[in-house]
Amino acid sequence: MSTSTKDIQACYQQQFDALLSQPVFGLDRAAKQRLLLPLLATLTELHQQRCAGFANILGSFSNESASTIDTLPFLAVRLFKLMELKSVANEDVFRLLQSSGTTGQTPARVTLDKATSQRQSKVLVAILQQVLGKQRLPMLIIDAPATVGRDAAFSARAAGIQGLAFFGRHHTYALNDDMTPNWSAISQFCAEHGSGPVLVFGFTFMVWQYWLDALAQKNQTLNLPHGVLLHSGGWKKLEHLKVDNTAFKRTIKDFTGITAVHNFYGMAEQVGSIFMECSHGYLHAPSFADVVARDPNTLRVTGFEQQGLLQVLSAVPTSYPGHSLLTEDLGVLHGEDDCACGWKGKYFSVSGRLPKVEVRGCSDTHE
Amino acid sequence: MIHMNEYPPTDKDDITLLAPSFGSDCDWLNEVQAASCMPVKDAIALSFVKALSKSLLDPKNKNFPEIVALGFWLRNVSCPLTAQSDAQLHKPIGLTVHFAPGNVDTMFVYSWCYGLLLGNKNIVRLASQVTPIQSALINAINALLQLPEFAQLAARNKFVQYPKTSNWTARLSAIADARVIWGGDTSVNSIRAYAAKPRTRDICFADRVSAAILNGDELDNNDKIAHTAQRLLRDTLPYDQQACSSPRMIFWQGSTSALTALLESLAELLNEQIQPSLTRANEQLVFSQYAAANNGAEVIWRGQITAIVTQQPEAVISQHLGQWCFIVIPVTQPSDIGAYITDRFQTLTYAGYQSEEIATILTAPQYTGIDRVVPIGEALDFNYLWDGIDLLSGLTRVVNVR
Repeated sequence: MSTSTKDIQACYQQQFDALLSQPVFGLDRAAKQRLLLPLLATLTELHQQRCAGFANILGSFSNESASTIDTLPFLAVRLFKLMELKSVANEDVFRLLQSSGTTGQTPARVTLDKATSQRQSKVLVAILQQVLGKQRLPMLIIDAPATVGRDAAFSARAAGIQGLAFFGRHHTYALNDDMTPNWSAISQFCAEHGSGPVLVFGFTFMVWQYWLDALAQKNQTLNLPHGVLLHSGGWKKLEHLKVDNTAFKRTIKDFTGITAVHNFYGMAEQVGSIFMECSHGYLHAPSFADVVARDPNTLRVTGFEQQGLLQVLSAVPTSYPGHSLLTEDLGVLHGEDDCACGWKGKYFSVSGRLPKVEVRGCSDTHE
Repeated sequence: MIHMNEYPPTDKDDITLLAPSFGSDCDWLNEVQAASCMPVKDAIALSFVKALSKSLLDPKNKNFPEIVALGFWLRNVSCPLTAQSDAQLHKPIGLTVHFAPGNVDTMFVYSWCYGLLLGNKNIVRLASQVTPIQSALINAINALLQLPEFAQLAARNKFVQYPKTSNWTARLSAIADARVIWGGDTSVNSIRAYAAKPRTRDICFADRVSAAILNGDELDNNDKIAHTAQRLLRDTLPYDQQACSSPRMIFWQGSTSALTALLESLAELLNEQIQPSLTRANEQLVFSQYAAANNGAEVIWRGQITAIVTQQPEAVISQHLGQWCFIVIPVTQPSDIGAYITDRFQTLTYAGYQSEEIATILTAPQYTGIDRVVPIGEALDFNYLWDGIDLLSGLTRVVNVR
């Protein structure tokens, strides 16, 4: 390792530690400009030195150092599906995270070293404690044990469950391996822990399709008045059912008694620094992350209340150049630092995926 | 493996006879099998093609430029083959099964037209996805096949649709004398995997890529630049640059300033033709970043179109999804293209050169690619000479009489 690489690493570490000591949802724009921007610029430099592919891409961005977070270079998130992009030597690779990917798509491959992996957990803990408190809660997982079983692929769903499991105890899987509800496990969990605070976690469509729907069909209600439901994974699979956040929350309350429902937005390419839904229903950028919406045609930054492609920035990854990514999700930024919930930072909502390219011409045809 | 006379079980409910749409009670498959072929370029077939052209050029189709283009193409269809020439007789090959591509709605007609003109019996398998263009074409064909003068053709030409998973591909393969298979590589291989008769001819159109070679030194005024841009647009517009003969690569001989002027002109023309698209802009970004990361390609133009410069197009072309991304490869003379010719290379469109100059290069035996060399603007003009294959000889049998 060259001296300058060491310097960058040390500089990053200092900047990261400074960020870690800050309130997670308490940094306003000026504080982020002071603490997060230089860290992200350090990450750009670090990955430029360690990842040739990333360095090549930087050629198409301005050389001037970024004066605001939205002037930092970004990578198209799909690149992680198309090629290997990493900033560590092979012997330092600790784990290869694969995103589940939509059916028929190549999954993304995200290279983690020990340090990045530990940092992901640290950051996730800090963010989740904001809604869960410091105690580990009895945890009901809306998924099947097989999803994380020994033979399961290391999918994003498995990664999500394993990551979240750390925040619970008495882990109970609500579904059987065939995705039918495990009624006896569910009732036992409710009987033992239902009167106190509990954590319920699942992917949005799993919660809706295999839990709420099953409860509705059986006309059964649960009573978890002090429960917190965390869910993620997007609304895409529920689109055809016309389920929106309001309907989702109402149904949760009707069938389980849970009123504390937090959606979060994150991706395999940026594990750790997730965006958490506040009490007013908006996703917030934590201290470790930021979000920018860009006009999809010009890639210029869009104003508040205008739909754009979401760019997500994270203080976490040093083992792969994923600290500034242009996603294929469309969203709307609603404001910064002035959400009625009291949390600082940019707040936004995700409105859907960018439509896929229509395949035309003479390629694959036998449909 | 399938034996000659043991057809795989097929379910009649699996298949839909789209045309002829009348008399569907009769067993269309027996009917087509029992019929004899027609003579090569029979008057009835010629008059059918003329009538179809007229029907497609009806003003009601003016919102479907692909149908209008097909109408014009049929009007002047080139089929220079006669039933008898010198000491040779030309005979149809028999029952031809066309597996039409799903993404080019009009292609099945181009493919079928040669089968028809050459006297073959034809079964055309259309893609399952029903589109307005497909329906309009089937309606036009049906209307004509109902006429008494085309009864012979109705008995010999059937248009069907069935799910990919059904056994019908196996069944039709077993009785075909020729299979015309439009791919994707995957589709071609999966259809060819079905057993056919020992003498069945397979005419396959698989995945190909195409390029343009442009002599920038000749583009010395704005009119020439605008004209070249217009022709380049014509070659890339119809299928969002995804057609196998649309140029994705540009071999460029000339100054950077002339190239910039050309790209600027092309972007302007494109702006007039299509709305900006979220998806397209993102695809262009993904492709240009992929190319940069993979082999250091440099992005030289970003806007309505994207252009990158690289010396290693092979490394990135597999991720090219059309959408007006141009891979520019600077050359100093036309013969430099030799280094880039692979067997996937189909069409080379040219501007600012003589066709002989290009042809001379291609005579070298080591080049296994490039099947078409056409002036810029004619990349998509379908012809019986396609992908290095002569459809006229491919769909006929020659009787040598001495």
